[in-house]
Amino acid sequence: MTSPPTRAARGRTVLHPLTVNGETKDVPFLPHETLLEVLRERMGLTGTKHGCELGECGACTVLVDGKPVLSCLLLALNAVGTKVETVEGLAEGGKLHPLQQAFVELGAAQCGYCTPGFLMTAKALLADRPRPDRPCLKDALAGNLCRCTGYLKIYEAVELAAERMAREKPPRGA
Amino acid sequence: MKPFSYARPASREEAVRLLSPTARPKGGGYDLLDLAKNGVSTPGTMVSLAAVPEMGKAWTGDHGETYLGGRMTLADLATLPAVRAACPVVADAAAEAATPLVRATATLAGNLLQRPRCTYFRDPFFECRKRGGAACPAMEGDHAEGAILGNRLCCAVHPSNLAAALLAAGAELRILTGVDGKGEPTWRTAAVDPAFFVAPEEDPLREARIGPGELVFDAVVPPCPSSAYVEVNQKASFDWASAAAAVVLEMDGGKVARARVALGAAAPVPLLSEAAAAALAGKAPGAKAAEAAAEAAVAGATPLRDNAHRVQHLRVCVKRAVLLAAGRGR
Amino acid sequence: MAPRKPGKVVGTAYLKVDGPDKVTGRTLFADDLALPRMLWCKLLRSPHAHARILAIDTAAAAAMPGVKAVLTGRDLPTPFGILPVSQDEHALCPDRVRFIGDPVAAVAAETEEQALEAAHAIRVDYERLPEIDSVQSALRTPEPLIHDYGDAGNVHKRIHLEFGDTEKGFAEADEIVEQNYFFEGNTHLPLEQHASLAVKTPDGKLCIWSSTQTPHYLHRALTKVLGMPAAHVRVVACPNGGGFGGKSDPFNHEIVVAKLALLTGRPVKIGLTREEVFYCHRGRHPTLMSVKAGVRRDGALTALHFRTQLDGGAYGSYGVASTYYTGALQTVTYRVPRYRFEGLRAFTNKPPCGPKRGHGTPQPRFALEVHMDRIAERLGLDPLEMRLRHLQPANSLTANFLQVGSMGLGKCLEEVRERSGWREKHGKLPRGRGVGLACSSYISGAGLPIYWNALPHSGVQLRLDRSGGVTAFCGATDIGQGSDTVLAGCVADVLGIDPLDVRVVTGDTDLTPVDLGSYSSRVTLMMGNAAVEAAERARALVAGAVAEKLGVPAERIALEDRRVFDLEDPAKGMTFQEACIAAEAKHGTLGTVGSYTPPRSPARFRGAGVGPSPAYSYQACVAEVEVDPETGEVKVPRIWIAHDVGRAINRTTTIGQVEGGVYMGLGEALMEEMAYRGNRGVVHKFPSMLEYKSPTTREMCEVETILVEDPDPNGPFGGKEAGQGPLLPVMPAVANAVFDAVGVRVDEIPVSAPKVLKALQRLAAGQEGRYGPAGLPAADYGEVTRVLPPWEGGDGRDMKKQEVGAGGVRGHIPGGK
Repeated sequence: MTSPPTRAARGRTVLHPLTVNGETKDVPFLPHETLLEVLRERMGLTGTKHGCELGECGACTVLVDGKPVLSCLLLALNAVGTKVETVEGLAEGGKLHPLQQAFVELGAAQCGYCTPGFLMTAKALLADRPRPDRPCLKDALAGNLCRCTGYLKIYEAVELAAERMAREKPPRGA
Repeated sequence: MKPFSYARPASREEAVRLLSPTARPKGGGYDLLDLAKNGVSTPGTMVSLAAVPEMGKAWTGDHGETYLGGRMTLADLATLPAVRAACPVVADAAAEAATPLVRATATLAGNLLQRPRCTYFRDPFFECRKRGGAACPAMEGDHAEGAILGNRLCCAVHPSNLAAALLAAGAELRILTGVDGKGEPTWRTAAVDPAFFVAPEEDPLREARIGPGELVFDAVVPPCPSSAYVEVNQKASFDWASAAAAVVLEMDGGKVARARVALGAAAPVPLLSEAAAAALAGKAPGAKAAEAAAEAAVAGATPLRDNAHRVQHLRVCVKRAVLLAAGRGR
Repeated sequence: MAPRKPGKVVGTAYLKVDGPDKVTGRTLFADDLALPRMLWCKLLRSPHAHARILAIDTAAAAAMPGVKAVLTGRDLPTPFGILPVSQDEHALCPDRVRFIGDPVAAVAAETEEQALEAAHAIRVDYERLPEIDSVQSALRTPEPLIHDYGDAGNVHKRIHLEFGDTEKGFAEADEIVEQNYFFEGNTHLPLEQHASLAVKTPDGKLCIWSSTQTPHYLHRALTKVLGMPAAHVRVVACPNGGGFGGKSDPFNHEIVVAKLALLTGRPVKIGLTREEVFYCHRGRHPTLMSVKAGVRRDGALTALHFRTQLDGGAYGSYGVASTYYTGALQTVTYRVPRYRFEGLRAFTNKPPCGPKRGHGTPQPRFALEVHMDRIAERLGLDPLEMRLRHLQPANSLTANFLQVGSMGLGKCLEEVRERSGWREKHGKLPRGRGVGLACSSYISGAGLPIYWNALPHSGVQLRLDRSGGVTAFCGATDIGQGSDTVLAGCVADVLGIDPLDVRVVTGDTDLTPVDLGSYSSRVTLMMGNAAVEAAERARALVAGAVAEKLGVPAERIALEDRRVFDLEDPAKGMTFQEACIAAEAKHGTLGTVGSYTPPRSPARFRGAGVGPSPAYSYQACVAEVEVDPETGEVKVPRIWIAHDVGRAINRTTTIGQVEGGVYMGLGEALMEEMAYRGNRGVVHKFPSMLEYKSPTTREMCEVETILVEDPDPNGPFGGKEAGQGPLLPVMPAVANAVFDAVGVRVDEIPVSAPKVLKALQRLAAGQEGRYGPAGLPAADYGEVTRVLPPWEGGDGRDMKKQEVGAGGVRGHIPGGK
């Protein structure tokens, strides 16, 4: 994997390799562009949303090396040399990720605008804690705002997905 | 955002060499980018510290002191068992900050040095002392979230949870100041004490005594198992404290030998309340002593028209932090 | 007439039809769209709250790199506005700015950054005018006028209605209870910032994709301002990333990008910043209220007098309707034999207020329900049992001639009483903990359209063909509430297929029949009824053809599980596709339509247009709170809410609406404020999502939802609304619970810690334990319109006109106030 550039000059658009959802592409962008802008405007990955541009809503959450990150406050340059995952990469081979499936079934996506951010945060959470209890879930999701659901269906969906994932993939060593 | 250049040094020496008044160190970058996006300030160069080794870790020294790397995330500070055991006041303060997504990226040094959240400071439309203006519009305007102590010239409260925690803990910062002729780094240390912070009376343009070419490498925190940070806020996430107290107790038998009580979100800089500490010294840290400390802490408060509630909130924070810290000492 | 009985779809938790797109990031919101050669638009907005525009110099901006067009107010001189009586907005201010954020000029350029830089290069000379920042200052400052129309000075609208002799009612009371209340303004804060993309097609027509809840009204505004034939303008409402009423007006930016697209011949896009969304606003009106109630010892009301004063902001928006709504629905929950309402809305130099979830009714509902709690306290009655004794009956007329149909509030009250453990908790929990109760009701769509005409409020077209595919076309807009899912469900239920078999095409003025829009909780009922009518007609075509094939009478044909068969011999039949083939062979190309127009209201007085609805939903809510007496902090661990929805078309989305309403109500109850600068009352304190506090997972309570299903004859399958009603009882329930917990009244929303603390300190100092307004500024509400309630022989008309009418002159008297 390439390492990020050590220097980038103001106002110069340069091609940088970005690895998003498992594919590495050379993408042109400016040093001050955020990962969110590059994903949406340069790569056509509009699944990641913007709600505030200031880290105040969580709609732009993506995973960088498995960690949830606010892509509106991350310079795209800082994402070079990392593995970026967005909502477009969740479903594999046309099959919805268990989180996506549960969100659909339980109506956890109403308007759907915050949904990609919630899905990514939840994915990172379940990778870390496969069976979070309700308080842990609330804590982990406290950086994502939703105005439609009151979060309740989102909790239920994450819990349902966690249960199914645990059933499909027993923990290592079990 | 106004365009800027970017650098990503691979060593601390290179990093400190790159810093200047217009080249700012970028840890998580959240406050830096936030300020740039609001049009408050944009550095010419962002110097990313992501590749500087050693800055992202915690380790324990020979005397039980904890070294906390300047680039450690708030999430790590909040959750690492070693940090929580040795200096719970720091772990508490980190855990209360911002949101889980912000904590996952925001750093110790960034939190310590972040600029105030006063909405006048962040709104270039208004004159503001912290941006070189001659007046503080918040005095006459909105200050429900403003300072209740040290608020004569400016009523922006210091926004950093960690500042209060490190102040109470008597931490020391190890600061890179540059490189010498041989390319070796030069250092200075700065105690996180009242003298480290800069009140508006002295210089409203900054909150801490850190030079533009300097880099907070890490913070060294003496062991303080009897310590706690308590804040009152409207929201548990996406919010700043209405009041906060960081308390460190040195116990001698069942009595407090020495206490340090730092007040957060109360003044333009975090304050160390000598009066509250004195109220605790030699006492058993029960409800009575805690209440005495709380009263002492707010004795000199000068609330503005709309923020008297913050005096009460501060009182409650000090009391609860004392009791929580005392409970942990046992 | 009994409503249609559900088949196998309606009433179940069938899947939301747009779910898979939304969880994969494939749903295209307006800002996700891009077209080749697209330009970007930026607006220059006023830095002043009230000023005359002396000159605008756009020369420098026009010469900047990438700039393709610059617009000012001169280019778009025709005014517009959502209500016919308030056509007071311009796409760009021609001569006057009225609030900080009012758009003055626009730029289209190759990139967004170029457009922004050019917008900053536009020079505007302003002459500042006196600024009005509150109702009080509007009443004090009749000149200069913010608008050259309105009822008096800067008072936009005055209303004074009296139904029966309220003074007589007060005289008959055992007790008179009076109090003042304040409800701070707040805003929708949808996660999605408004965005629009417009393009001129080679044949000279216009198409705009936009985040709008009301494509039909945007269509009207565009047609008017651009002077184009309506048939040459196409509006496509993209799925909205949350609306809550905030995308219900035609907006400046929508008209501007349309104009720029026509001028440049290139697609033009705008995406508003979060700051700009705060300027669009149209949120909850800050409302000051006084309530006077006469009651008998058993809690029965003898008369009710409500006064409301609304801070309207800089434009009319829906404000006239909002003002009427602050007085309309007080009568549908408990029996109010005599009722008087005085209301006014003032223009101020702030972003315009408008319709937010509950539109004009949350404020008076808060006041009324806290007032009921006070009354019960004064009379020593249980507030729940007292309400239960005096409910407005089902199938009745209210004092102000609202026709109540199904009425499940009694059942709702019983449900929350049992589930919450009300009897064991109210007045009995330890200090610091308490429970509070409130009820509410909301319309399922307005009985009258915004433009009074004889046209349907909603239309649905169905297209079926030999593929077995069914497409449902409707102008309704899915803003997250699930209207596409309701449409598919209603059609599928009647045709015996799966909702996912139905392709829905919605919110497109070229392709879909008109539906008035996603506002006033009208879509499920109105679109649902239109869909059922269209589907029943399609069902008849299919069943007729199959009956002929099978040689059985059409009445014996059933449609179920994607099969069409003989009820008496279910094995005899065919697949739904085969049935469609048979029908297409018999009838030719298959298509049906359905439409819905609400029943006529019996009310005839001036102002009677606001309040009537085909059906009213009902809610009862108990909130449990924990109040920290030391800090004044209020935490809400749990809320029980029973919602009379008539019939849940889809269980998942209905409960989702209830939970979402509770959430938004909780935010209003505890923290949400559209706050303005203390020292410059006309600029937003800080237009950001951080400073505008909204609940996170950490503040959200647990919610126990109980659906009460008492099918309403006017609803599709008996269904009523769910989108707005469940928000309404939350604020008063929380305030009442705070009283139960610590014995202080906060008569002001939000109930924040500093207010609770202040009230507690007053109580401790031996004063009244209350935080709230002392009174209302004196105001003239205009000449009274008197209407006799139905039980006093009233016929729904103004008494004056009734007398005149008796003398032989009937009908409407023009200009008669």
